[in-house]
Amino acid sequence: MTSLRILHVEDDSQAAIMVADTLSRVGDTVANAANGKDGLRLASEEQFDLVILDRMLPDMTGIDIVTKLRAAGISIPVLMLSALGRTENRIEGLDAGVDDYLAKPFEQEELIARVRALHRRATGQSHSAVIIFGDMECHIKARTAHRQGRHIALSPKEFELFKYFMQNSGEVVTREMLLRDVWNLNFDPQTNVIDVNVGRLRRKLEEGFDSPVLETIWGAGYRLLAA
Amino acid sequence: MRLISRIFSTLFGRLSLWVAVVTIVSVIALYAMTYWIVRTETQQQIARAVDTDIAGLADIYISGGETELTKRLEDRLDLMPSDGERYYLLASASGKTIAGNIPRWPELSSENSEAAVIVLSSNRAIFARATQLDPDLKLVVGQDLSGMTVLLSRIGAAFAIAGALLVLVIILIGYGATLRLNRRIGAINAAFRDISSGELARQVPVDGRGDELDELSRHTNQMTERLSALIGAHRDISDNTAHELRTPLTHLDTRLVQALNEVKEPGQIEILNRARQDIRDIITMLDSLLDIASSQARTGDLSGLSEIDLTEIATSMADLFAESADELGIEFKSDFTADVKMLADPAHIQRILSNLLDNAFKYVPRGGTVRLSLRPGPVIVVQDNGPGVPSALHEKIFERFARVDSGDTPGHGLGLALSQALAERNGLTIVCRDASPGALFEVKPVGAS
Repeated sequence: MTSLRILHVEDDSQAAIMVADTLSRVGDTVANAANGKDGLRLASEEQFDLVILDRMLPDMTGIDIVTKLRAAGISIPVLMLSALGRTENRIEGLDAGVDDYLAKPFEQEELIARVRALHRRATGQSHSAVIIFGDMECHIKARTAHRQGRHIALSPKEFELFKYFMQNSGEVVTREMLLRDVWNLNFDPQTNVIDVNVGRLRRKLEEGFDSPVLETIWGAGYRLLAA
Repeated sequence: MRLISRIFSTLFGRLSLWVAVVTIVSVIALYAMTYWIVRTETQQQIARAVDTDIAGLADIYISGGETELTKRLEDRLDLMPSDGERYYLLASASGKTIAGNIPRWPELSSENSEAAVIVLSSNRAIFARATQLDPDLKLVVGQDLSGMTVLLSRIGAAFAIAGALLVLVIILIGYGATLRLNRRIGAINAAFRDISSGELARQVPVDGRGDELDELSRHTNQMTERLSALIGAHRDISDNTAHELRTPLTHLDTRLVQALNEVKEPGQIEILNRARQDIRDIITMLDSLLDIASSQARTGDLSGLSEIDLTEIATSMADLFAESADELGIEFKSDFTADVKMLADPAHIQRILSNLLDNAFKYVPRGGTVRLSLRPGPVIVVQDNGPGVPSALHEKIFERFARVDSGDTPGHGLGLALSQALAERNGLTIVCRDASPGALFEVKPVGAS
């Protein structure tokens, strides 16, 4: 796993330590700025892979920072962490130019997944016609799924879900990402609808095989594993 | 033509039109009165002149006899131009002309001293009076009326020109005033439109004339400033409440995670995890309450709303819930009209649908049916054949913390209150009805039957 250099703008030291601990666990380096002014200065002077912004800072809001960054032509991926977690707050953040929005409190795994997904999205991955991961194959054009050479019958939506997992193989995929990217919906369902859909796909992928391929990460989401 | 119809569709355009009509009617009435007075007065003057002339001629006849009268009449006629104003005829009782410039005896009775307007052969109208001077001698004296006719037609022309100018001036003034007032009122209306689409800092221009419109503009600005301050305060309170409650809860959650890393005993892990779930439940409840308040505060505000494809959203939603229905052993049917569009916030509509479907799935027993339908209007219906909602609760279930059951089903009783608030924010309303058997939730525009 590539290690990322991340700038975290956060005035709450407890939260800053938690984020730094979480991300250093997967090998990332986190630099902290305790206010917006320092954050903006660091973001323009040094080279980072990603910025994590708190929404409410003593001197300015995270929204102000991202607006200034974008106005200065800095297109670095930005993840906003905020105590304001309502849909309205998220949309406001996304409209201002934030790439992803995570409400506090969050699961550590979810933070890692979001950071990774944002970085993947920003660096871009080539989309080949066939994605191979472990003993699984996803044929994009033919819209077919195979495991150990055996064809697995999937419904159109199950295939979309499978394709998304294959495109993000080995990485944690959150429920919100699935809802947004597979179903094109942008709200917090607060129900188990996503789990039910993933559960169905998991049964189809694992039935008749010895090894599990879809792992549930508590509090974060799911990860496709190479069997 | 469009410009004209637009002007007359405005208050001031219609007012100008009315003023023009009243002016035309007044000018016509004034003209009629003037015409009548001038005509009557002139006729009376002419009649007096003719009577005086007759009296003079009668005196001459009495003092000088027929010969003298004839001679005097002939002298007068010789001095008078051929198209002179006075007309005379001295005739015998049988009507035979003795002297005069009237070709023949008019139809006037000399015995009764009759007077009338008569038309001479030359198409000339005169006022004439006849008199009997002697049993065998009668006299007619007349005065030309063409002077009066000319005067009256001049008065008519003067009124017509003055009236037309007046109406033209009124129309021009009215047109100018209409355009000016439309511009000023249009500016106020434009400001209101901007304000309702979320531009709260918008001010209505005040041009300092100190008139009623300026006063209206100033009041408008005061109201929007107040509104803006209230919305800002509401927002600050919501954001601060959320922030101040979430921050300690986040710290608490972090500590629970730290504790979880230390604890090995499954029972203790279970307790800690349940405590973490409680934190999430509190936050969810808080968010729902704030969402309800925010939606209620922003009802009628068009900002953030865009044209969305409801069919697309309903299809995605049906797709998402299909597996859950299968899992629960519920038959899930959907029936959508294509391309149903509306002005709304997509996230709100998604949340409303998700809440209604989630509720239906929660209450419908295995083997039951849930139906989601969408038709133009837009009307979204979520119907089930479960236990239904008692009719006494059809309105109450949309209240905050209202529960249909005793509380075994998870949730805070905020789902429907939030759905209703979100619906209202998007110009919709949700009603609950009996589907006998089962419950029916209908989402439709406010005011639709």
